[in-house]
Amino acid sequence: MSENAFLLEVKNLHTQFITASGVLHAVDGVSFSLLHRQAVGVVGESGSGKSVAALSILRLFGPLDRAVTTGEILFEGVDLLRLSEAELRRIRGRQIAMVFQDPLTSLNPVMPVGEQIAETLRYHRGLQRPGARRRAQELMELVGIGEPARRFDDLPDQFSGGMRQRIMIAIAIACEPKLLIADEPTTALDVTVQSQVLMLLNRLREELGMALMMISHDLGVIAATCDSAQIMYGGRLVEKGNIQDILRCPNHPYTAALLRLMPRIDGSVQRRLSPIPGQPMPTLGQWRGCRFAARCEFAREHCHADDPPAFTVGTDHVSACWLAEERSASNKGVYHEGHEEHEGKKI
Amino acid sequence: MAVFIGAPTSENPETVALTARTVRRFTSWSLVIWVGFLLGIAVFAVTGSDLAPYDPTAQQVLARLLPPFSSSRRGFHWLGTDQLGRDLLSNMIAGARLTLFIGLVSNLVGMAIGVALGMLAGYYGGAVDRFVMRLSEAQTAMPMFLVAIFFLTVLGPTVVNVMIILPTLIWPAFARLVRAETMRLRGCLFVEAAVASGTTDWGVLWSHILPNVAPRIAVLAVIELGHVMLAEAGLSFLGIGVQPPATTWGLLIARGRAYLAVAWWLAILPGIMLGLTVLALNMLSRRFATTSGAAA
Repeated sequence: MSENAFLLEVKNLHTQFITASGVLHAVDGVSFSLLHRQAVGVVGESGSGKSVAALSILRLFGPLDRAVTTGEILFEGVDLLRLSEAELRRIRGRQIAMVFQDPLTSLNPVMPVGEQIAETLRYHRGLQRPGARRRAQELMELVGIGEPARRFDDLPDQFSGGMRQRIMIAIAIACEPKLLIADEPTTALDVTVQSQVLMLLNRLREELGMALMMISHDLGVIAATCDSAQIMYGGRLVEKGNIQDILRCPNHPYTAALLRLMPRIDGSVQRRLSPIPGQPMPTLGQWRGCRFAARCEFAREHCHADDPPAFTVGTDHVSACWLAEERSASNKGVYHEGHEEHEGKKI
Repeated sequence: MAVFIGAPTSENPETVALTARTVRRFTSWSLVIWVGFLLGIAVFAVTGSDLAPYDPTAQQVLARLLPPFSSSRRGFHWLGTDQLGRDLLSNMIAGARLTLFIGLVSNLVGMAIGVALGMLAGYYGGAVDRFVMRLSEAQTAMPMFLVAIFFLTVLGPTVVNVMIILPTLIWPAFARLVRAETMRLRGCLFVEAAVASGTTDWGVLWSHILPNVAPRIAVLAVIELGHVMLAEAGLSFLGIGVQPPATTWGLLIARGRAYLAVAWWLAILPGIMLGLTVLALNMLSRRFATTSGAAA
């Protein structure tokens, strides 16, 4: 596999849940790709489908979820959706690893933490007990847990939230995966611990040469760790591009609205945070038109009637908004007044 | 315990303190008595008739139906003798072995079946779940004691047959508990994390779900041991359980029933013994449930 081929290529991913009240389109035609060593952030509010998209990649749905996934998920050219459960197990943890949101519940409460790291090593690396124990202690050291030999046999409730997330990261990187999916890894942590964990992830990505898919509702977290960002709304990608472009010059009205929601330490005290009016639409049943149209201040009839395709609005910068087409046609300014920095790269 | 407190510098002071605290929290005088009682029964069960003052099957025509604390030509009889002059204390000590053996084995078999089916039902859901649950409902709906009587009457009242039929009485309790717990744990993030790191279904069940349900299973198992022992006594009482010359407490109660009017001790004393044992087991399980936070 050459270096410039895509590590992960997701094409037209749909994930639906069969529920009592109808078919729920949690992920609705999402396509994106990821290079080796690239870090991409997936941003969206609760229910935007960002976590489901990540779970779809590793097919982490239980039999009780009644999930249906279609499309293509090419990992190093192999379609993960076509693999059997047994073949996929060899990818999980070894090639693609995952860190979850809540470190307080993502460790087995009755198993020593070191044992939980060693378990992955024994399973995927075929290490024997002493070898796995030694390697697990190295990993604990690597993620910044002091005295790993002494803490190996401690249970999860003897660790703080931040420490437990470090253990989770140690488990995830135990087999040096090519891709690490982090699903809101810092949401449950306080701000100082959050920045430590983000720095740890950055360092490990550098050292191990992993690609990173960071899922968060917080653009600040994405900015701290990722090269590019994708914004999801209602199960669809609405905008993707370089993180700098997205922050400086958001194209999609939803992205612009998200940025207006971020408190800025350098902003004027008078500037008010402006919530987005309305509620996210439930994604039950069939749907036509832009998902955001109902809450969008720029929406016109056209937006409600037809799905907006992805328009290229800059270098590697696309936006699924009809306004983007008009603007790229008329080639004039951005509309997100109130945001200070719109002198960025304009089309 | 004293060892733990006496040597806190050995390795890890926190671990030592934790262990000592756990031990202290678990200990109380009533518990010591109950545990001591159960241990005594266990010693009798292991040694069998070796500890008995007399041969439990030796008859003595001239010393029939002696009340407790009386002596015969052979010696002193703490708990009296039965209609054939056999020493009751010796019989009760000898009977502890088979009573406990049948109880433990049946309980283990029933537990294994119930836990396995419960985990499968809770983990996979769907058709597996429906099958297991219908099976357990069928068991609950049927008068299982009548089924046991029928089974033992047809196949013969042997110890092995008793140990085959007793687990069918108790497995649904384990299956229902473990199924519910497995369903709860299945949704836990650590199970999802284990799946995400490539653990097999078997690995998830064995090393993540089972250890988390184990305390609750243990609590239930202790209670069910009492149930099984009572059921065995019931079967033996009806004459379709264990057959003489083998002895269980249930059989002693059955034999003593005919002489209840003239020699109350023959049925009452083994009955008290059985009752105390079941009570001790319940006390132990309740204590365990409150200290481990695993309410059954």
